[in-house]
Amino acid sequence: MVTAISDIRIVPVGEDLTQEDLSLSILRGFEKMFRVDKKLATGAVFSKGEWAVLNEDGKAERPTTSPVGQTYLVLSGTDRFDAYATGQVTLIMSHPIVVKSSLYDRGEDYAVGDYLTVKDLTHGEAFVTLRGTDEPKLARVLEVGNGYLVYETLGGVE
Amino acid sequence: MYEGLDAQTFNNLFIEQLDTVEGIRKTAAGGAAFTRAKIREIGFGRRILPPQSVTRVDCTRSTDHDTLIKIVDIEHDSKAMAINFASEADERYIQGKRAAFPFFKIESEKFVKSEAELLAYDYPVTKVIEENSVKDIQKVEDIKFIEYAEAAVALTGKRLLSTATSVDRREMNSLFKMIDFDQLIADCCLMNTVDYDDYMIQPAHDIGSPLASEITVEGYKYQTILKRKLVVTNKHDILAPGEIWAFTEPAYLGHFFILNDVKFWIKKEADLVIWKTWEYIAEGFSNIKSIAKIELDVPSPIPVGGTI
Repeated sequence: MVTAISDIRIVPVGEDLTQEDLSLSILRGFEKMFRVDKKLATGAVFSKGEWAVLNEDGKAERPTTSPVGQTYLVLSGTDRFDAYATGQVTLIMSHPIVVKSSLYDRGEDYAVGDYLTVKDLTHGEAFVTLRGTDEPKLARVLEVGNGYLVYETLGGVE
Repeated sequence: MYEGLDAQTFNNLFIEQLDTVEGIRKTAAGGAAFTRAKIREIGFGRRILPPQSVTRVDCTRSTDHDTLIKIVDIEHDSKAMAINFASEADERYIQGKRAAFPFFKIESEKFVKSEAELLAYDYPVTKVIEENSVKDIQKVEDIKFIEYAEAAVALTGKRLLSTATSVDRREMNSLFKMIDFDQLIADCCLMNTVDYDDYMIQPAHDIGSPLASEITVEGYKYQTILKRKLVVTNKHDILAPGEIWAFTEPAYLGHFFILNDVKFWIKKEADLVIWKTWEYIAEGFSNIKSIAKIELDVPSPIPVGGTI
């Protein structure tokens, strides 16, 4: 069943709607970045600010525990009407852009300059975390905020 | 059209009028007009969040069922920043939030009375309507109003438990500050008549001798407390003594929609007169920061053994 309207935004409202949505705030690069729609792999769902991996068919699927370079930020999630209609998810496929996001692995300590990667942390996560040795560099921390990270995307270089 | 008649004559004419189609139409129209005016006077929720009339075209349907909602936008955030000449500010891709107000129906009981028994009443039929259907409808509105307000403060934490046993200026001040702190302005406070009574016994050394003297003689006769609009209700079963609420202006608070208008229906079937009243409304708070509540430790106004 298609959920047309978020339950927590139906009166009585279950969230503070005046609170700024920091799941994905692009601070630099919106005008020139490539916004590309990719077909969704079967069953794949994404929310804005998560990252999607392109599989061997060129379709967007959720990251596995093994990070790969072809991993891209999700600009608009699959919960939208247009995504239902097209069966596609919109990805940001150019870099660098500067992103402010509340979606990151909260279990790690970050410092400016840390490299980030994206992988499933065993609970289906699809957001940035600290990069391990030999893992693709997908982003670099520019600011560690209270409840958010500011990072620049790097395009998955090793 | 009924002014100047005694109650029994009115009731008689009322019943006779229901014997014709045109009479039923006029009676229903008259009842509807009366109902609308009276509800606006009574419901405390309407005094805090004035109702807005909407029609079908203002609403949105569901793909899954045959009900309606009205979607309301929430103002998006914005900011400015100080930067060097050669620099440029951050970008912001506007992504607004919205809240959905679902409509529901409030309906009175279906009142039935035989025409003969109706004549035995010493007050006009419109009084019955006022004291039954109108009261029930406005009460349900207020029950939902408080229910949604409780949901809001449960999320924001703007619910202050006080050990004070009666309300005074300090308690009101603590209440208003919970809203004012969020770059909003507390515009209105809601309390019941018991707390209102308590407010009137503040000592002269606290509120000043002239005001204390005045209150002692005439009661607190102002429409505001600490510059905030005062709404007092006697519905203690909805708003218990010691529970005092603060709200912002409606523009920062939420919405109260009425679909089309209050409807009044009446018919006469043989010797029975049957009527009911209903409305379709959607009410609630889309800015949950705009509400605060203080709960005082007030003793029961009725001695042990009594109930309120």
